[in-house]
Amino acid sequence: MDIYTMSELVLVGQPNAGKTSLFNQLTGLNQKVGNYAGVTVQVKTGQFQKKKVTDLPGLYSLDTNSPEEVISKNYLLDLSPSGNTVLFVANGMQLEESLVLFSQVADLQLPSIFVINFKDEMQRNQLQVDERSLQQRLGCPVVSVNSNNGDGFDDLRRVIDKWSTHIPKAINLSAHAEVKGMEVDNYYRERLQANVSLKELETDYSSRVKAVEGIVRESVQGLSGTKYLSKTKQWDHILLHPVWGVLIFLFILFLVFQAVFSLSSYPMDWIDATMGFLVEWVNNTLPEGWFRSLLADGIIAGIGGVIIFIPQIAILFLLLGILEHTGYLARISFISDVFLKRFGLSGHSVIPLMTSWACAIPAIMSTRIITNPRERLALIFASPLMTCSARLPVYTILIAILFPADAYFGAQGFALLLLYLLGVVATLVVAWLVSKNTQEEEQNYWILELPIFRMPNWRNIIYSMYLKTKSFVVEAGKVILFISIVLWFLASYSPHNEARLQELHTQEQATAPANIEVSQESVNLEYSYLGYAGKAIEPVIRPLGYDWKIGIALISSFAAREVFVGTLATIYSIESEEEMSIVQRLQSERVGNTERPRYDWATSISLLLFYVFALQCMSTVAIVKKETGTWKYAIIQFVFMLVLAYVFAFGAYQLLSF
Amino acid sequence: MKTAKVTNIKGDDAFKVFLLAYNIRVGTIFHIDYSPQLFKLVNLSIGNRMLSLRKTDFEKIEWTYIQ
Ligand SMILES: Nc1nc2c(ncn2[C@@H]2O[C@H](COP(=O)(O)OP(=O)(O)O)[C@@H](O)[C@H]2O)c(=O)[nH]1
Repeated sequence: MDIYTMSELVLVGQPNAGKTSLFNQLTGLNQKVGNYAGVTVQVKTGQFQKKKVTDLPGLYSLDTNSPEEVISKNYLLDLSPSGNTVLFVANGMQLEESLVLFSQVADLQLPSIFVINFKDEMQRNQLQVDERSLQQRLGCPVVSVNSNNGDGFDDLRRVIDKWSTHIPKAINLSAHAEVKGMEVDNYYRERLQANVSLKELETDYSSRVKAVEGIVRESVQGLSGTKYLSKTKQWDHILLHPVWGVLIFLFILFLVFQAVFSLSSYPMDWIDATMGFLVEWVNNTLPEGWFRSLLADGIIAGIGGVIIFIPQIAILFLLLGILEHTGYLARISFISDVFLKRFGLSGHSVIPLMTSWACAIPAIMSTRIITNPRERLALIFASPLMTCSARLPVYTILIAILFPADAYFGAQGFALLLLYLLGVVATLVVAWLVSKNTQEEEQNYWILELPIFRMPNWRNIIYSMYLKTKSFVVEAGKVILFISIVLWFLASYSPHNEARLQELHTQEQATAPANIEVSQESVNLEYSYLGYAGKAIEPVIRPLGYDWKIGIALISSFAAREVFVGTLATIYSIESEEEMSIVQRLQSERVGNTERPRYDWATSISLLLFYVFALQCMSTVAIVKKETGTWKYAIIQFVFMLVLAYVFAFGAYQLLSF
Repeated sequence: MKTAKVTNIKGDDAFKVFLLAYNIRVGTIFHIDYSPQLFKLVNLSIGNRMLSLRKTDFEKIEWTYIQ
């Protein structure tokens, strides 16, 4: 057997070299994700002709220490020359920089293929590479491709098939290392793992640059004096302008918001209707019993609770993808850095922050692109305070109670805007607090690459939207489904038997006001385990203006905040989940036997504030644990936000009911 | 648009190592691009790559115009 039989292709390259595009071309949708926020932030794997393809995070150099780059470096160091081939992706428009990194990778002495990407842009800019001569200088195959449209991929496939076992010439290692057959006694590998002095690094780097300059002189024509950047620079005069740039940014932010909410409303209604239909169908088809109830009220409700968010999240990812692939997203980072810096964040925080308007889960996952550990922790802590889409149904109902639509024109919209602003302010303040008080290491240097402006590649955008949304469904879905089933159990079972529950129903109906019909379901819920839990926490939440019914709704919304609405509908025996009927019913609810409305200003505002601050979402807690690697932060965050919520709700209620 | 050249970098070694990865070192030739004061960032282009540095970091880089 050929010891060189290749089993794994490893994609290596600098950020923006087009690795993701090339990976998509090679593997199609046949890939496993870990990829968030447009940039490759985790090791992704896929399949190409029965070979495993691994896409490593982009890196500028093997000598840097940012967490992402270290992932790539360590992965490379663990590879052995048998079975692995490095597919080095170079940005053809930045050949010198790419070759310097390649010279480092070459010194690891792994079989390599040098892929020159951006073939189209090179042609447009009259840049010519003599592939044969380059091949000779590097000692490994060289292929030019366009990862946007697949041009050159036939060659690449052929090369992968036939020529993927060539170990490139070492560029700098030759001075120190010995290559004994398969055994690599490699000084460079050791050096990469050791602490090396700046002097040594600089010398090493200089000699690489010198070697690369020689190679480029021989094999590349037309590299200097290209007008490649001039269009982008012209655009930057407008897009980075202190006035126009900021206005354009705000306008685009507004457009993204509008698009996310208006476009998603149709599929969301449709999902809602389908789920309702499914529940009805199950209830009509299956015999009565615990299984039917579990399926309809536990499982389908749980699944519905996840997929209802898909439209907003997918549309947001689509739009972020467009912003990223046109090059504009980096300009947003540029414009917002000076502001975010004051709160311990930076321009790199823009993606997680914008994502958390849809959902904190993908937002927290996308913080992997943040190289500064302190900034990342601050973001993980603070981003669940941004107004996510699960809060909206709760806000909508409570705002409708506070401001009946006909009473004050525009008040509802204004109230919603205020809540969004409150979310942003809370996020920034908490980020600032965390970054001031954490011992997490601070990385002091910050750099941003501004990619050139180009037409986006739709296939890449759709792929990343699909993969990220899928990852959200998996991550959030498993937790929401689990909690839904637990809550179903607590709400469906009771220490009392059926006869007793019927008796209790008769009693309640007799004491209820004449105009209110108490349903058996509502009584069942009241005397279920969940109902008792609601009553148990009543003393704690009474100072916030809540009773045990609200208590039940608070507990059940731990699956996801919007469950609050459905639970209230059940408690108050509301048949339809029509927003208006819930609002009317809540408005007519009184405190005990008094005339005082249960949902008066004080209680409603208190509830709104509670939902602004509380981390009422177990999927977020789970993802924080996963991303920080410890329960410590997840628990601290949960408790911190609960205390915050309690204090604000308490203050508001006490002040307003004074 | 004027071309400039790095003549010296102040700051600690970690900073210099950091810059090295982006090919910023003594001798690097670059252009200073449009960088409005308000944002406290400085845009550079080195070869065909555009980078944005915090102003405070950029001030540690000494350079001269060469054209
Ligand atoms: N014109 C052109 N654009 C490309 C090519 N390869 C990638 N791109 C674009 O370059 C940008 C960066 O590519 P991406 O694959 O995300 O880079 P990565 O950071 O290395 O994963 C994207 O907008 C791509 O659509 C290419 O061969 N030609």
